[in-house]
Amino acid sequence: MKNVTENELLSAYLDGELAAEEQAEVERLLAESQEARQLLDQLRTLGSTLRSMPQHKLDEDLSRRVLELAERQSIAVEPQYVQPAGKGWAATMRRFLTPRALAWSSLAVAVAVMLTVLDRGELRRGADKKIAMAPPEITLEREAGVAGGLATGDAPDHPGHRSAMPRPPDEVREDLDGIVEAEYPAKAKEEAREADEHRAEPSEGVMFGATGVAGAKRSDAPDHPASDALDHPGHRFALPRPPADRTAESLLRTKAGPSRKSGAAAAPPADAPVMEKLAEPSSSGMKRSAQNGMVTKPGDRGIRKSNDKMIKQQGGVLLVRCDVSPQAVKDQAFDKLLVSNHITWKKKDRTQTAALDVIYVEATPAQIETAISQLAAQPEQFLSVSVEPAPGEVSQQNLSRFNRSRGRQQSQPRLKQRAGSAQMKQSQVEQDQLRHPVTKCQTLFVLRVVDVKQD
Amino acid sequence: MNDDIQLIDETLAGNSEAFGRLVQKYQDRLYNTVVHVTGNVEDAKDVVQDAFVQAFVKLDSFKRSSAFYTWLYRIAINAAISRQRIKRPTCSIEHAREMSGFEPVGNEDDPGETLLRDELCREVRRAMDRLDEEHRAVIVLREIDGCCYETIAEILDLPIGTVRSRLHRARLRLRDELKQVLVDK
Repeated sequence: MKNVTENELLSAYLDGELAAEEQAEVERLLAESQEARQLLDQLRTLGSTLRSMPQHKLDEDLSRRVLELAERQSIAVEPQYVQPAGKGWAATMRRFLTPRALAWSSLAVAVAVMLTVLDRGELRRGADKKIAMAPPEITLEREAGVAGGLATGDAPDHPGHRSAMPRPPDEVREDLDGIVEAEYPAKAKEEAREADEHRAEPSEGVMFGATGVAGAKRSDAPDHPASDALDHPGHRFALPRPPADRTAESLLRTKAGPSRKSGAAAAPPADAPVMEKLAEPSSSGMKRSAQNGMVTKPGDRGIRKSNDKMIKQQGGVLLVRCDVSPQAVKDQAFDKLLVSNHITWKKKDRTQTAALDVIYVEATPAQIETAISQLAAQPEQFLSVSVEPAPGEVSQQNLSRFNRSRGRQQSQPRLKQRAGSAQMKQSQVEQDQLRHPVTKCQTLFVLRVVDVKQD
Repeated sequence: MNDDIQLIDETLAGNSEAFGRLVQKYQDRLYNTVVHVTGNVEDAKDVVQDAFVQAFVKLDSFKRSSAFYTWLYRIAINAAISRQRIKRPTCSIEHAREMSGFEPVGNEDDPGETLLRDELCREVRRAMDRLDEEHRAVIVLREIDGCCYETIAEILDLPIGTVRSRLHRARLRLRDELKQVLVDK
């Protein structure tokens, strides 16, 4: 048995916290040891002394103040999005009706509508344009594939057909699946897998890797030769394809003068100051991305100037499309680039499939500008970059008004802040930021994995 | 206990007034405990207030495997211990009483008895101030708040055996600090 003083069983005995066996042991000790009895008496007296200490009571009801502070803290933690606590349909509805959720939802709906309209438009315009947009070697193969398919009815097996449908290598797809598995619900991954399976049945004209609206079957144009051409890389992932009057190029044309396309597109006008550098031939060759209307090529730096203008002139939501190499995906190059520019995003603002990665961020125009210029400066990883205002853009004015109204709300403190509370000081800083919101550039990055080897 | 669960459910359903009733129910008991852990009435008030705020904000993460007040105490005691580690007391209970005229609630009418009791309380508080935070927290939870070992273990996130040994060491240290007082009693 331990030294009597060190015997913690005595304390537990005093507190009635011993099992029967231990209690019997302590009672034997007490019967034998005067020292143990003396210690027990001292501990008992100590306990009664402590319990006789005066009770402290608060001289006020804290409930109202607590609820006010809780509300403030919620705002300070998530300035534009207050997640109401609670369960049930009422709390769920409140979550969906926050300004941020509404803005994001409207943007998503607008993109979906645009996709539907544009994809139908592309169908009706026929295959000629699609073939003209493809790189020359693919065009030849596609023409053979279309012809063979029409003649034999087995276009899916034609080599030209396959070459026109590059997909990331299996190992890269596994990596991407890993990312999706790690961060997103199995549903998104399942959708990508389903779309992939549909791709193996190209006679039904289903796009690869597409989800939602873009993943619908092409049953509306079953007999059109162009339905085969839908397997063009430009359609693989069902990227939102801008109409002619919504491309960055056309916007630049109206804002900064005419521009020109690359590849099979028309020759550049002489008075295209902004796009001039973009269309200059390069010894390393032009990378594919003609479908976006605005094309970059390896080593191109001219895009910076155009992006500067885009960001400064649009001031709202930017849509930045970017073709990325599988290696860049593997290296998480885009994530690192954003992080290096201190641009962060929330998990719920990112949607990933094996082939597409859509990220919504808010950052200062300078941060976005730098990020885009860095994207353009890494052509090996980011094969092409295009910038345009997103359809259905969220009004920056509305966002500012929302922030200002929050600022007014915060500028009427109902509670006296106490000195010495670091948390309250932090909250004060955040509330100051709400009162004087920094204009943020809302940007939607749409990344598409492109296997360079198949271009 | 069931009342607490009902109030929690009402709060989660959007009725924040229900949480107000939880605050009213526990604020004094929690405050009395935290005052003895921090040794400072102003800090104690801050800690209690912040604990309720944190509890409200994170209420949907409360798993109900323990009582609400245990969970609340855990938030508050951890905050009090952290605060004490960072910041040494700048305003003791005694100092606050002298400065603000605030008197802890007492029942004595006899002036002589009151003086003796005040002196005893002063000694006990000094001795408690000399304990480290962990020992002070465990002895306050046991002796001031009357928590059982299991509840103390939940609040401090410790095994029950550790609670038992830590409580015994805390009592021995306090006994050594108050030896003369205890002999007089």
